Amino acid sequence: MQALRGTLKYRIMGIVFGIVFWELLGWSTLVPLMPPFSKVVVAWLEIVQTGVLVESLAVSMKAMVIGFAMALVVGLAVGMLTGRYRRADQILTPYINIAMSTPMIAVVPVILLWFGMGIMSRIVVVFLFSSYIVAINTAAGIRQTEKDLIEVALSFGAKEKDLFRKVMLPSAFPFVFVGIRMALNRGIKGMVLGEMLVMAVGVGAKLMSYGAAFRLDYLFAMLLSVIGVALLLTWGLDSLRSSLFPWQRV
Amino acid sequence: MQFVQLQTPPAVGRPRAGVPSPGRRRPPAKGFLRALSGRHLLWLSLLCLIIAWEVIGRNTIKALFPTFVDVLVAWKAVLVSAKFWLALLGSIQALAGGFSLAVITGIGLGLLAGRFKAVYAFIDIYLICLLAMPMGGILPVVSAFLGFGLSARIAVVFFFCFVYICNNTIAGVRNTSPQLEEMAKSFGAKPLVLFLKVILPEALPYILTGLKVGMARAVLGMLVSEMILSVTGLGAMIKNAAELYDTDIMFALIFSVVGFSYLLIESIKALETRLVRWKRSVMMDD
Repeated sequence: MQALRGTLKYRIMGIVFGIVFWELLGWSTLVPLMPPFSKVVVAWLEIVQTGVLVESLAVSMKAMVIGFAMALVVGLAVGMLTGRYRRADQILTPYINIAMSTPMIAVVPVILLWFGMGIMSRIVVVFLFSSYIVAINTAAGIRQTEKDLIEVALSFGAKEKDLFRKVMLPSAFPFVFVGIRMALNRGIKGMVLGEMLVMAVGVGAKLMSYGAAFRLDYLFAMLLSVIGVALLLTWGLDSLRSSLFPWQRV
Repeated sequence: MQFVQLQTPPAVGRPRAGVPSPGRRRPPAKGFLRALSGRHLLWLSLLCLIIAWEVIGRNTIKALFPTFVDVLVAWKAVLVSAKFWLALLGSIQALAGGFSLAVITGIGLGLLAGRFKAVYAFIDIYLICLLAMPMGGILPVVSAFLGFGLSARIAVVFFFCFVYICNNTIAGVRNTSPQLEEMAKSFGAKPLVLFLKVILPEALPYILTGLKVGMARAVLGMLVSEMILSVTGLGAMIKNAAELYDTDIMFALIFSVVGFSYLLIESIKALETRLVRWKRSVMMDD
């Protein structure tokens, strides 16, 4: 997102307006059950102090990290294959396209059936939600590698391994990176959905129980924290990229 | 949010399925596998999958892993049952309501925010939050306010897809080349004409991509709302089948849902190739 100069005023106005509006809406009786923003802040402080927040986030993130790592490895490998080799493209890409339009939540009952109620199911859910995006973007990145570069490398005797390592992957990097960032986001979403639907642990379970008890102040506090974590992770990934590869712009 | 649109280079000769890898020297065709065309290969791989499925299915209990034939039989039964079509109809109601609401507000707000920097700066933080938010979290909130009925499901679908449509519209409007705009203005184009003839065509590929992604998310939202929030429609049928260990019916329903979703997204893709032939999006991004 490119920075827009001279709009800071409106940005602050937007945030202030939102908070004030929320606060007023909470105190008015217009929308029953709606907690004012200040109460959400209080609830947030409470779940931080009692450790509920950190505890449930830790449980959720464990599955998230493992599933995401698996998605990265598999997604990169499949993307490299389908981006580079025609046969792999012909066989695998149709399945990836179907996966892309599959609402993954429909598959969650199957996963539960096969992998049980434990952490394994949650890992698989995260994997399913995020892996195909990495594959699609890696393939797109490899495909757009300049032909000339490959020709030059080949004529200087580069092997297939060198081609991947020194030509195609660097050239595909911006694509791969966006894929990874997006997959991270989808993974978090999959994690929460999976926890809400069947596996009563972690953040998702907390969200459900707060909702069932109509404790919307805690619910909003939890939700805002998850958003915060997601944004923080994305931001971390972004700054990692710009410190590792400062010359590259996505 | 970035969005990369690549112009596809004009194809020389007949383009093959998929983009051929550049610079790959293919050895002359020999042997059985090489003689197969891509389509044949795909069917072959599908056949292998089905056979593997059948073999695994025959060697495990049905409650865990139905055979392919079981699923086909169940699928036929599902497709002729009135219950399935009624559930689908119920699901489509929420989907259509939420998606059209998101299209109207998303494109409307996106056009405004893409055009006026102040509006964009004002709503930016909310778009960022919506994009990062696991939408599952919105379910308890929605049910607290709207209950468990149709309006709640419409709201869930809306929240699932709105931000993708809006963000892509903004990116599209931003993408309008200043030169074109300048030119149109200097020839005396009124704001309406400018909008219809310059901004909208330039933004259209982005908007359509937004609709495509949004549709996938909308179907997801529809199912999520039915599985977690209110027990109706296809989502509930899938969940019930899973709870009763009717795995053959469950798989049949899942395939139906995947087909349904695929059909919807493909129809937007068809619209895309019809309306914007000159551009092709190759990278996915939020």
